[in-house]
Amino acid sequence: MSGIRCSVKSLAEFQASFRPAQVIRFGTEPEAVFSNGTSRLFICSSLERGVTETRGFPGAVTQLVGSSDGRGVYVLIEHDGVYYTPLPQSPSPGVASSSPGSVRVRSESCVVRDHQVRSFLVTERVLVTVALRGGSWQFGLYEIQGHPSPCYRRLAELSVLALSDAVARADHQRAPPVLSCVRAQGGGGRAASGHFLLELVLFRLLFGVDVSLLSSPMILCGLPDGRLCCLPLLLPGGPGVRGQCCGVRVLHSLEQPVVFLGGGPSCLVGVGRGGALLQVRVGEGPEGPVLRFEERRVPGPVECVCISDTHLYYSTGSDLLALPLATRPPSPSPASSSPSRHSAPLSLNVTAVTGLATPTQNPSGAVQLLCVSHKGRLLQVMLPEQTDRCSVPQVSAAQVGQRIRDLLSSISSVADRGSSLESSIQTKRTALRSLNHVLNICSLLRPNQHSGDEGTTRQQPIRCRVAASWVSLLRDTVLLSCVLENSSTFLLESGWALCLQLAALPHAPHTAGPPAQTYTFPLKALSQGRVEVPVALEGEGGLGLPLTVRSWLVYSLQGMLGLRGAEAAGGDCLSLELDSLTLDWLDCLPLHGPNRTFLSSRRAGRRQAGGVAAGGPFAVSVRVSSAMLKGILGMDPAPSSLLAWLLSGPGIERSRRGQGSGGGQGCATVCARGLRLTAREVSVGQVCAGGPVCAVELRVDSASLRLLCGLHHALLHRLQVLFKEVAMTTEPTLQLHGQQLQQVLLQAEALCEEVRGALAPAALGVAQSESSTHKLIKTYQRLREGLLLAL
Amino acid sequence: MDLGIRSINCLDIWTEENNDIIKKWKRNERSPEMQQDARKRYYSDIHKLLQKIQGVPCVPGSVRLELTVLYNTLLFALSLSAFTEWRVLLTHGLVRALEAQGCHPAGSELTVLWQTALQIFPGTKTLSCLQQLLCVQGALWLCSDQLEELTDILSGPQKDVAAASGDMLAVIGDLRFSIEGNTALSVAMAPGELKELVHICTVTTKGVRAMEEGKYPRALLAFQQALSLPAPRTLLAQLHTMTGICLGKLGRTQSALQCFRKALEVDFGCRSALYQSSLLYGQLGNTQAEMEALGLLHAAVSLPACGDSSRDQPPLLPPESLLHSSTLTRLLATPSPPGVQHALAHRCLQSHRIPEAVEHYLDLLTSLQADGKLLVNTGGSPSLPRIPEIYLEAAFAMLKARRLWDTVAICEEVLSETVDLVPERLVLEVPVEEQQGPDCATQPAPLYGRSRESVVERLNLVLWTGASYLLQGQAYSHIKDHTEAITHFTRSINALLKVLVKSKDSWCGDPGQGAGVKLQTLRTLKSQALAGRGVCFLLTGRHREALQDLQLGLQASPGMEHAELWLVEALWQLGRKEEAVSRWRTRNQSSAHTPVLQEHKPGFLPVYLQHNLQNGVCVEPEGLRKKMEDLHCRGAAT
Repeated sequence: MSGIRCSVKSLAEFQASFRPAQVIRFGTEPEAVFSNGTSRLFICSSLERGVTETRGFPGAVTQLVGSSDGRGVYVLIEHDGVYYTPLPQSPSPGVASSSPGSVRVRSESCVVRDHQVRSFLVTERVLVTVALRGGSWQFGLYEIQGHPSPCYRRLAELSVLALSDAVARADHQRAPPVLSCVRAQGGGGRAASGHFLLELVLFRLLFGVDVSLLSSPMILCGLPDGRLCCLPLLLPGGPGVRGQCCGVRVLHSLEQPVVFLGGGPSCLVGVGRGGALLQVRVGEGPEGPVLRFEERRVPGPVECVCISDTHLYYSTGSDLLALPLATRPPSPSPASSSPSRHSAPLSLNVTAVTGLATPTQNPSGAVQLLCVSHKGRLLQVMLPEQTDRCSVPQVSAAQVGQRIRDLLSSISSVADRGSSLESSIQTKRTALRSLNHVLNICSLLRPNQHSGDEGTTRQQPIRCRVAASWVSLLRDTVLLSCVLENSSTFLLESGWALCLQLAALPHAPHTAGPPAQTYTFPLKALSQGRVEVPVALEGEGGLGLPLTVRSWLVYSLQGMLGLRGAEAAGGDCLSLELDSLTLDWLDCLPLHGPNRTFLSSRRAGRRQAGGVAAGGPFAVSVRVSSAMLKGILGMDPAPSSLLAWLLSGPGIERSRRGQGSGGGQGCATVCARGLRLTAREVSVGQVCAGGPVCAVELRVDSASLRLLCGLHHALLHRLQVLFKEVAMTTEPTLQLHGQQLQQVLLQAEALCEEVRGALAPAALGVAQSESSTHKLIKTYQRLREGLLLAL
Repeated sequence: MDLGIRSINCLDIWTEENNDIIKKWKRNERSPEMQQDARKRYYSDIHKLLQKIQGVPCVPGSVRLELTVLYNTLLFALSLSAFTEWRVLLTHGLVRALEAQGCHPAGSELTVLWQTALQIFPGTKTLSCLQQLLCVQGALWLCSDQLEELTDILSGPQKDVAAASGDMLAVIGDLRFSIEGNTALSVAMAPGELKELVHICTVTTKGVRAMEEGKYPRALLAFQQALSLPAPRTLLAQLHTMTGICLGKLGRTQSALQCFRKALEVDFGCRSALYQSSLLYGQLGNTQAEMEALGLLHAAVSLPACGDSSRDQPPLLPPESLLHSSTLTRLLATPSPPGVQHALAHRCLQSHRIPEAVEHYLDLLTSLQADGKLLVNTGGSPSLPRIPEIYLEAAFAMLKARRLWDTVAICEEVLSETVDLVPERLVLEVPVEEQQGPDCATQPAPLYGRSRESVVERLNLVLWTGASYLLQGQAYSHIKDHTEAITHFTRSINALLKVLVKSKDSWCGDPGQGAGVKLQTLRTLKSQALAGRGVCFLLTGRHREALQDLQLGLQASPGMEHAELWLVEALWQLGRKEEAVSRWRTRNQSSAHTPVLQEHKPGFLPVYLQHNLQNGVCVEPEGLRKKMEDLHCRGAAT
């Protein structure tokens, strides 16, 4: 039989539960109390409201037993003892808070302090404990006293020897003994958890007339070694039923750890962990009523069991099963007894149940089970009414068809939901993984953003190197080639983009045109992290030199969530600055060939570079004193060194120490198309009091005025930056000739006047004439010719 | 005192800590709440201190402190019965002490260590520390039942400490501790006190062992030696009781009774002395004294508050904690309150004190039904008889007191439990002791083991049912409701006839055994039921059936006086006068020795069936004696 479909409702959720999960159901408020193997006890004042209160104990809760009056619950704490905690009785009317209150149970509530107690049971006036001590199972009987009382008084102790090999096994398996209390029918008593009523004849046959005459309850104990023991609760002097001298009698052995011992009125049931099922009934023997011990096997392993009058419900962990208990004793003729006579357990298709409460039956006859699941849920399982009668419902073919269709559709909808949930979980997982990745990279690059002007020599794990080269196709263009170097352990995956911003310097002479241009390259598209950006220097949208080039790594957060299309939406971006540098004319001189090789091969520049045109009508020069270069800048004052330093290119930290070996003297020249840059040693007199100053003159000759201006500006800018740094630290030592300086100043003032005069028409809106332009150019040239000496 | 200076020396700090713990313990020793918990706390405190001290290497200067703290720790462990660690603690302590003295012991055997230690320590102060530890060692060995080990130590090479005999008792006895002790280092229990306790408990244990082996004279000597030592009140009373039991076994009953009296003088709450003296009086046949003793015992057990001498706070080490002997427990056990009450009621019934017996039985039944806590299964104490037997005895007491309806009611209770379990047929083929093999054939239930037990229990059920109907029948015949009486007698006979005994001889072989007694009981029950029914038949005028029943009854169990009388009457009434006279004559001839024969074996039949008690239960035929005597005289005259 494939099983029964029953409705399962999750009432409460908590953390995952461990082996000794237990649930008790009360008829009244609170409705259920359960534990999940942790140190907490959960109280549901009503099943609908879920957990309303929790109690924290000093140790792991291993067993729960409701007190006989239902006002409290006894709790066994591992390696500690038995505690009593009263339950909240009436629901406080104004309780609206959904969060369950938590109460700490203190050690004063311990009623039986014995750390070896493995299991216990509560009857009206006596609390029974079982402990494994000194090689025997000891049953302690304690008098229950009115609350509050510190500790219960021990009335008696009985023991039964433990089987020596079973002791170790029990320790290993941690299977606790199972206690239950059995009474004869009609003798009163209650049907609480762990309490069962048996028919008089069965009771007397099992336990003897004496116990029955005294109407004493019997304590049954299923030991982990498989033995089923019994002891009378109220039998003075312990004569032993049937003349035995010891109070504890062994009824039977299941030969596997006992997980349940109890029964309905007509039979006593014992269940072993491995699936051994013992049923003891009254049979008609040839000489009158006799006990019949029937043992059979059910599919195990049995995790937990509960019993109703008609069924035994048990969980194997993977399924919850209902086993009908035959109400009639088996047929008297022993020949007809065959295993097939037993009805097979019905699957209820509920998995992972670790704790079961006594089943209840609602007025319509449906059986309701309360379970604790392994995943940590309190479940309410409603069995269809038919199962109770142990018969398959009679339905018509049409109904069957309809039901199958319903089932199929519900299956498909569940499958759909399942797959969509799965994909969303997958997305979340990927997002989390990439977020983690992004954060790793962020933390890697963070120092980069703060290093600022420290000029660190430490290599950043991710860098962007920019090199520029002159391309002259249709018009003059600088080609920036950016190389993203990643020496970190993280891979820059899709979603990352390299962002370049080219911006004109704020005080650059070219103020026309857009101030900045931004380029974004998705990294996925870059081959080996190399990108080349052409920058038009002229015309519409052209940027003039010098330029600031800043580079970022950008990550789109939306890309992370898989919304690829929305990458451009911007805003939700994470940008990490990589590098920033200034690109000037010096960096992108239209040299022929790779300029560094060129330079190193031209020692002292004696040879003229075979260029298209070298030099031109326009020339500017800047002089820097050798002393300054050497002493202050720490540079070899040789002209070639200076030139090499100037041309060492952008992107890398310009080395202060010139890479030229400094062997050359005199003059060094670099030629490019329409341009010549010469450096040579000169001696400048009349400047200092101490005689002529040795200096290096940098001279630019060019046919293109634009090129000349740009290069001049670049030279000055570089030197300025350097001097600015140096000036802060050093004092000039040279004595300057005041007269000479005055002359220079006068010259400059005169030139300034000329410029103003030339600019006046332009300022007045008069079109510039050819002559004024020439004048200006001349002035400009005079201004730049041979005047400037950096000391 | 300057704190700075104090804190320099660890030894002083630890000494103070030890003294503090002990001072606190002494202050709270007598406070009533949470003894066990408090002791656990002190134990853990002092144990921690010991661990602290043992954290640094032991030097000669710290040996005394360490040994004293170890002494205190072990005392608390003893009082908590925490015996798991003591061996490790002691070994460790001794090894450290020896190492401080520069001596490296050869092994870690405790006996070797002790022998070395006792030799090596010269200073008297350290030696006394060691000796007080030796007392704890003695106590621990006593607890863990290793008396021999202590003897081993002291029979070692050191002659100056060990007595020449090598007897540990002598050594422990010879240890002298100054009264004031060591004032600088406090101890939880004075070593002198401990020494005395260990000494007396060792002697007592030896005596108990001798008793186990049945060597009563040796046990007697041991107990007498123990009695010469100072001891707590309860232990003294127990020792007197044990001496009494030994004397009783040796047949010196008067001295034994003297000892029990002494025990009670020492400790009025010594129930075992009362119980033992009641048993002894019973043996001596002094019913009056036996009943008095039982009465006192009953009073003692029903008033736990006054009888229980262990109510006041126990000292750190009560003597019981050192005397772990199941034999001792068994010897000193007293019955539970219902047990005492039953013994009292039973003796009353046996000695024909019917009103008292009725009272006691009614009390007993009430207490058994009261569902009370006192009735909780207490395991070890001497046992009560089976509950249905108690009911039947009670019913019989009612019958003798002419409370006939009570008899009927009590029997009804037994019947309600037994009737539906009575087997249809119970075949007893061979002696019960050898019944496993053939019994399997009659017991088809495959898993139903313990066949012997089950057969005996079924027989019990038959007997109880039969006896209940019999007593009811007797009650009805007293009420003169003869038809009701005949019904019950018939039921009794029917129940009893379900047992089919095939090979009788093997059963009769040993009437002392349970099975034999049961068959004897079965026969007696049958004959009494038959006789009872016969009498009823006779009184209702059915002479022939009466004669038959009476004859069958006498056949089953000869020697029932009243049945013989009624048989004569029946014969008489049937007109068989000659037979009647000859019966009368033979009866008179045999009556001289029959009752004596009954008196010889009063114990083994249930009290409700014993012949000497049956008088008054059965209705004597009126005027028969006179009739017969007249006839007899006439016959003699003629």
